[in-house]
Amino acid sequence: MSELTPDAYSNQSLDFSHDPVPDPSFQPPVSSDMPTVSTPRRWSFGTRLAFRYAFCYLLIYALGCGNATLWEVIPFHIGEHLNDWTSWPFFHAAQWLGDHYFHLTGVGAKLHGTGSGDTILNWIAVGVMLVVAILATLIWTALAELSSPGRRSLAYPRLFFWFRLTIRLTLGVAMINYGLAKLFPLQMSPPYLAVLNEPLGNTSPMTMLWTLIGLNPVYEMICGAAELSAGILILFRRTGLLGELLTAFLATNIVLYNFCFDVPVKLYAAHLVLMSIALIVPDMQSLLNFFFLHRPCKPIDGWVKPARRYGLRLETICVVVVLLLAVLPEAFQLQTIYAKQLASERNPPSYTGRWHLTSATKPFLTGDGVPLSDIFFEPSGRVMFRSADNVLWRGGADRDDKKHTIQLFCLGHEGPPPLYAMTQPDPTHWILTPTGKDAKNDGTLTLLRVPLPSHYPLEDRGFHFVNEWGLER
Amino acid sequence: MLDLTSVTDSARWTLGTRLAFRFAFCYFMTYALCSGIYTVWETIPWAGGYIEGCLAWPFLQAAQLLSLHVFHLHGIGTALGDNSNSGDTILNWITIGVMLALALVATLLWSALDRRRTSYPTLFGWFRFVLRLTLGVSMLSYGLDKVFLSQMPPPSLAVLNEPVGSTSPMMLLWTTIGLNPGYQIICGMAEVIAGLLILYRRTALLGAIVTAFVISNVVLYDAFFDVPVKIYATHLLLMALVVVTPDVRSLYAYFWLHQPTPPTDPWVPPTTRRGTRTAILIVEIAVVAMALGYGSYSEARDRLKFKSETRNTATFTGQWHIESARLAGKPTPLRTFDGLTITDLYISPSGGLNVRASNGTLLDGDVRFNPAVHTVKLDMGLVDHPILYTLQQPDASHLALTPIGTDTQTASALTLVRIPLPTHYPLLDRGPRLVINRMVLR
Repeated sequence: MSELTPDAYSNQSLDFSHDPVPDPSFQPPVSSDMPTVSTPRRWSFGTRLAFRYAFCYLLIYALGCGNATLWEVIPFHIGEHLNDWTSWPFFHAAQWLGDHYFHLTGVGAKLHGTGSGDTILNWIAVGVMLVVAILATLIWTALAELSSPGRRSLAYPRLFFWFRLTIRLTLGVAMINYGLAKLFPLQMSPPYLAVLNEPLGNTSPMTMLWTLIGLNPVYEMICGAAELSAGILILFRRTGLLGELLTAFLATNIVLYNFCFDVPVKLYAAHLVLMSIALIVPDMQSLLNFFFLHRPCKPIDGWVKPARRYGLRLETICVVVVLLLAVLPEAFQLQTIYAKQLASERNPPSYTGRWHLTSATKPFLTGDGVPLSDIFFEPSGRVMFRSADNVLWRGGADRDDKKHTIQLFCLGHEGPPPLYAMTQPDPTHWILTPTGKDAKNDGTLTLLRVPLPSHYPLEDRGFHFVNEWGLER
Repeated sequence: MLDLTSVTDSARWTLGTRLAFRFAFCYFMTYALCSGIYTVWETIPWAGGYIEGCLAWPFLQAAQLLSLHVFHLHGIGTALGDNSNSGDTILNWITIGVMLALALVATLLWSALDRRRTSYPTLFGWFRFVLRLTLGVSMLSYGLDKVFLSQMPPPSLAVLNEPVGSTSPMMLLWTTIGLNPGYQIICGMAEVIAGLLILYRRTALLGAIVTAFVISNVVLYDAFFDVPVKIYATHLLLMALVVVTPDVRSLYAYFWLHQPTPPTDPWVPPTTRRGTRTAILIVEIAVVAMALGYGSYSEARDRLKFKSETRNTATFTGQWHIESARLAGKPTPLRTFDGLTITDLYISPSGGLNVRASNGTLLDGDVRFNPAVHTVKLDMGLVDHPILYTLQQPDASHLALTPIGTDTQTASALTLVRIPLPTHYPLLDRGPRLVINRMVLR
């Protein structure tokens, strides 16, 4: 069987495209550098409806969700502005609905940068997108199906082509983004001192998951390499199907993690899976033929001949440009940050460790309005803030050794990041006095160093070929 | 060189293909049938365990002989036994070495003696058939272990009260996966589905690919979190890849060249005799029925049995510190196999027992209370059987255990004092929430 050449099959004119009714006018080209796939001329009503809805909803989400979108690859801050503009209507509609219809109060009622992609306003925004997509589908269907009965044998080969291209680029950019953040293992950092010294029962599921993956940079890098390869494969037409399947597989695991370990990226991850499924659906029949019926067939690739050839050239240019823009600047930036982190880990600054807040002239409030109790300066250079209710807040610090100042960035702390003048009466004490133009917002903090263990069994374990016992501690 | 196009044709195979096939056949057939871990033999009712043991016996014995007389090892590593919970002991590694050496010798002999044969289509069929059943059985076994939540138990009290930095990578992994029953069940379902796909001829290729995917992650977990199942997991991955290899060409044609090529077919020994074909079909159906049906039944039965046996532990849940251990009036601390002193016992709400050794490590144990006759049976890994104690509770925070039966002369009498623990843990309190207005880490 395997000796047969492709031509032998094309003569049998086996057509496994997703078109249920083979197009009688279709003649396989004898020799062509282009994939030999039929262009379905007729789609059933169901297919048309499904396509219109998928087109409206997924494109709206892909271009308007505001997180790791295709826009972000456009350099010089233009992408960021486009990102803001395209997501603006949905988030502001959500905010308006939240105020006037759902009567939201508290932290959820305002648009705020939280590190969570699942705030109540995010959910309402997705609801708005769903409704807009349904309305658009209804109007489109009404116009297309009712206005001119002669055009009922409809298909949208060109729209289908551009739709798939946009979604493929979106998924490619997303997977490359997330893959690079793990390939330079920054997404999950090495276990925080703040976590290592905490009884396990006091942590949260997400912290457990993050600590687990961050524990082993090589494991994280392998996961990142898998995501990156899925992202690159999905960009190219030839490897598109493979990339779509790999993306669906990986994104499904991410969704499971996010739902089971309460990681607040549920909406976005679920949409990655939805998008990859939407890309795979047209190839379902060919996959079924290959893997179940064992009939010779090939992926249709979702590839439909665009009306003019420039479409193909444009596609190639888009893919190459997106690939370069998505990979190079990001990789360069992450490499710089990671090199800094490695340098800091090799040579941790003297103040690395846990500092307990012994007194404050004005309480330093964290996100939920609970006062700060401890600051952990991590060997990686990051800073974790622990509030009195034992919750951890991510942050950073900017230390200037010449001016003896330190600026603290704490997620959820109201107002501009406070700048402090530092004095150190003795090695175990720090006094931070607010300085600069925002000095009146904050109080003076007195910090006491809390001694920590010099090493942790969790990080000492290493790789063992031979185990006489499974080590559980 | 290997020429994959010709593997399934009865036509001439290249020398490279023949050599590769002979070696793969010898090595993986030996491993699949004689490894003693989740082999296809286990699906045979009653006699399965015995056959599995008999086939693994020569290799383990050879490994032990080698370890004593060639490598001059001593200590725990040279003891054959089923109580180490590790699949990567030094004896396991030597066993693999023995199998490899044997396979090499067999390949050389086979190549020397069998120079006229140029292809092995029938043996190829048998080879794929056996590997397929082996992979299917082990995926179903591991999958059902997770579906019935017995592989990763809920976090034990001992771990919940331990600083994260004092745990071990494997404990962190087990605790994280055990934390969420939903996640564990879904992972188990994925493995069960992969196993079923590979056992059904038509979807065997898909099943092997899914298996390779799923097992790759298991191999990574085992390598990076020091889970002592490295040898077995790596072999599962290798077997899945060996099963897929003849189809690499058709997969390449489908996914990259986009040329219509069907997958290579034989998933069973090729035969025209009706009797043989029926027999093969019966074997396949029996394996599925036993691995899935009987497998689920015994998992469910074990779970119910464990539940009913541990229903009396509730009042004793918590941390018990060993205040004193005395044998015939003299202080005699409890010692593990490794010579470490046992300091604490943790009895989890789920009924599990953890034993804390003096160097901070935790060991798994077993506890069965019988309040009707005031006895408790403890398996703390001290001796090869559980020890029976009479149980007295002088006050709410103390337990006095006195050994009875055959262990009166050798086991110490224990006084345990209760160490107060928190009543709840934030890690366990947080249910899944769809709306999260602020990312809260702890």
